Amino acid sequence: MSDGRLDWEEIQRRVEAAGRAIACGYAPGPEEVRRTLKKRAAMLACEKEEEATADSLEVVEFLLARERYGIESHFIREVYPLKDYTPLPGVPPFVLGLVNVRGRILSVVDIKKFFDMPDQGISDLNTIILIKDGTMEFGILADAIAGVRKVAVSDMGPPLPTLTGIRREFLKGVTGERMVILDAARLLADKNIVIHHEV
Amino acid sequence: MKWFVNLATRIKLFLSFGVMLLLLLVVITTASTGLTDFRQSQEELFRNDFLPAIELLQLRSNQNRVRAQILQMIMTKDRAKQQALERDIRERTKDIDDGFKIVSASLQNHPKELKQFEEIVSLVADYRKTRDQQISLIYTDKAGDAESLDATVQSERFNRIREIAEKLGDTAVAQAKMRITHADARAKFLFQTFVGISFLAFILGVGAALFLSAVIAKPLKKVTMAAGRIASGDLGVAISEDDRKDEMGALMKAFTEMVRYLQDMAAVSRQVAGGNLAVTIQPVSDKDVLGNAFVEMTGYLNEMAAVSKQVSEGDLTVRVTPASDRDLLGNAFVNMLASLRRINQEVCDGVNVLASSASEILASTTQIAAGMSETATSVTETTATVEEIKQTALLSSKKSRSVSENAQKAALVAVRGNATVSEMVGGVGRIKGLMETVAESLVLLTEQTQAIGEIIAVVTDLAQQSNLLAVNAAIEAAKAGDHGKGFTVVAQEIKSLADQSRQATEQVRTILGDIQKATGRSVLAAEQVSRAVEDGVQQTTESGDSIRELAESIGEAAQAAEQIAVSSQQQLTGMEQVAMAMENIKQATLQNVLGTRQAEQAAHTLNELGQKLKEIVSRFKVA
Repeated sequence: MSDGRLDWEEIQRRVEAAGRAIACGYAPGPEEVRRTLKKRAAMLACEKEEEATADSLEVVEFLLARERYGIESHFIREVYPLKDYTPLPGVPPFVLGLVNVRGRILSVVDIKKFFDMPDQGISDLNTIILIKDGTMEFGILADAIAGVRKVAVSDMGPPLPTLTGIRREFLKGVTGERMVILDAARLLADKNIVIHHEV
Repeated sequence: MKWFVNLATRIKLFLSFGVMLLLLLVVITTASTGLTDFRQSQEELFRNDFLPAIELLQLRSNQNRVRAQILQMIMTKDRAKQQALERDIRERTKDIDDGFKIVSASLQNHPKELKQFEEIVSLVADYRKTRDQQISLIYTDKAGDAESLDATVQSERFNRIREIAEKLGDTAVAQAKMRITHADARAKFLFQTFVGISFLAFILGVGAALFLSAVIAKPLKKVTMAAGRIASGDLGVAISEDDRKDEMGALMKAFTEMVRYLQDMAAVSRQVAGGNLAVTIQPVSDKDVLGNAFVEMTGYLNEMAAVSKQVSEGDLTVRVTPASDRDLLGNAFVNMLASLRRINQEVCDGVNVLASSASEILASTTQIAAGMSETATSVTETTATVEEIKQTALLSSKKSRSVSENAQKAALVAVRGNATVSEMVGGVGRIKGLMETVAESLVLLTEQTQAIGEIIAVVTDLAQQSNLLAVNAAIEAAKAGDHGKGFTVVAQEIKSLADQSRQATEQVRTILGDIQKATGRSVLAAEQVSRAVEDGVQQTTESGDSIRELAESIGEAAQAAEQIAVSSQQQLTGMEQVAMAMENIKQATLQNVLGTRQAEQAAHTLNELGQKLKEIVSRFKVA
């Protein structure tokens, strides 16, 4: 267009190239394949090193209002997409409602509200993490699941001194990457979360 | 050769033919000697070689017969028959003796062969003795003894005789061959001699002929040709005079003298013919007829010349007396004088009339000349004016032609413009159609982009679910402990795939947004283009109509310009013709002026001539 005329040949060439690419479908080039494989190999090698370190926790990392939280994976039964839930009248606000997970009726807790955290940031709240121990089982809401990872105990620092109140009770520690590890055992054992009301 | 040339012709001929005869004599002598030799050689051949050879053959034959008959006598018992055979033997013996005589005679000059022959003779004598013994044995009925004798002694002798006779015969034949070879060589030599002498004679004969021709015939021919040229009046003949003492020399000398005399006479005649009458001629002798005649002729001519001189000085009173009635020149002079006197009188009268007429002519011619000069000036001015008009016409013709050509070109351009506009209308129509297609395609593209967006939403959902699945799998793997480690890896992979899917879908979503915007802009642009194209179609149609009208106007203008050009051309042609006519008139006028001047000049001359004539005529003394 610089000289005021369309270079039709160039345009045609570009369109043809695009059409060819679409027709072939996406196939990574040999270079890309090699690079990906190399990256994975490196990643696997790293994890092995981590494993070698003595004490570690396996945690499921999730996002909630742009903060990262982790729960030890052996407390987690599964994660489940929040499709439909039934609001339950007459319960505190931290109880979102009931969901049916493969025939089991479970309550869902919004831990943001349970921890009295300020309502900051927009939440998607489209995933439930089902946690359980021998006696108790319920779901907690999460924006998104980041994944499962191992966290060395030595890497875990003490809870921040700024944290107070109810939140402090349920924290296990904070990692160097500012991920908050929740103490699922305490959550499950907490009496406050069990509602026993009669109306 | 000088001495030969100086010999008298008779002696030259005698010498030439004498040499030829001498050569002929030599040839004849040689030929007769050769023929005698040949005859002798033939005779010797016959006597010395052929005769002995034949006789020896005869001898052998007779000897054979004798022996055969002896054998026959031995064989037969019949006494009568035996006696007959014996008689025959006796006859043969006599023949053999005759042969001996001839052979011995011919071999007298050859001692070696004679010795051999004598051996034969002695052998034959021995043979005869034994033969007689055999015959007597036969007659006494002792044929067996006779036969034994024949087989031993006689047979040996017989063979010996045959051998020697054969040898002698061979010798004779060889000698004969040698003699023939000798004769051949001799004949060849004679032939060569003849050829050589004949050749020599031929060369000498041809040489003599050529030489005689050069010495006698050529000078004769030269003299003959010279005589012929003199007979035809050509006296420029020169004969080269070699210093010869023979008859030819004398002839040439006499001829040269004759030519010289004739040339002298011719020179005198030429001088007389050229008017020189003061020439003097000396006759060679009283007998010199030509010389004397010349002297008389010059005298007569001198007399006539004196009379002519007087007449030329204007004295017509002179009297001439002719020598005789046949004196043509004298009579002519008399008549001429009479005529001259009469003519002079008549001329005098005529000249007077002529002089007065010439004066009148001169006056008239002068007037005409003045008038013609004025006319010529006017014509020249008119011609110049016509030329100017012609130039103007030419210019206007050129201009109108160029206008016509330009108009035609413009008409052509207009037609082309019309066609171009039609094409343009069609082209713009096509553009419109294409733009509509583009707009439709863009709309379709937008719709499809929307469809892709929906698909992307599904894919996003799938990615989320995959993520969850991966997490679940990881959790289950953790529960399984060490056994679940492999599964952990799989779960991680699935999670990574889910992340990638999510990222990809986000990218696709962004791109789709861009596409959506771009297509929106394209649709807008297409709409604008479509409107612009519609406007263009309308404008093009209008401009096409304008151009068509313009083309028609230009066509009319071109026709008009063409007509103007044709008219201008015709005008130019007319003007050229007028100019040419004016030029012709001018030329004619100029010629007239010139002619008049000449006439005036002539009149002047004529007048002067009349005056002069008057003077001249008055100079003649008539009485």
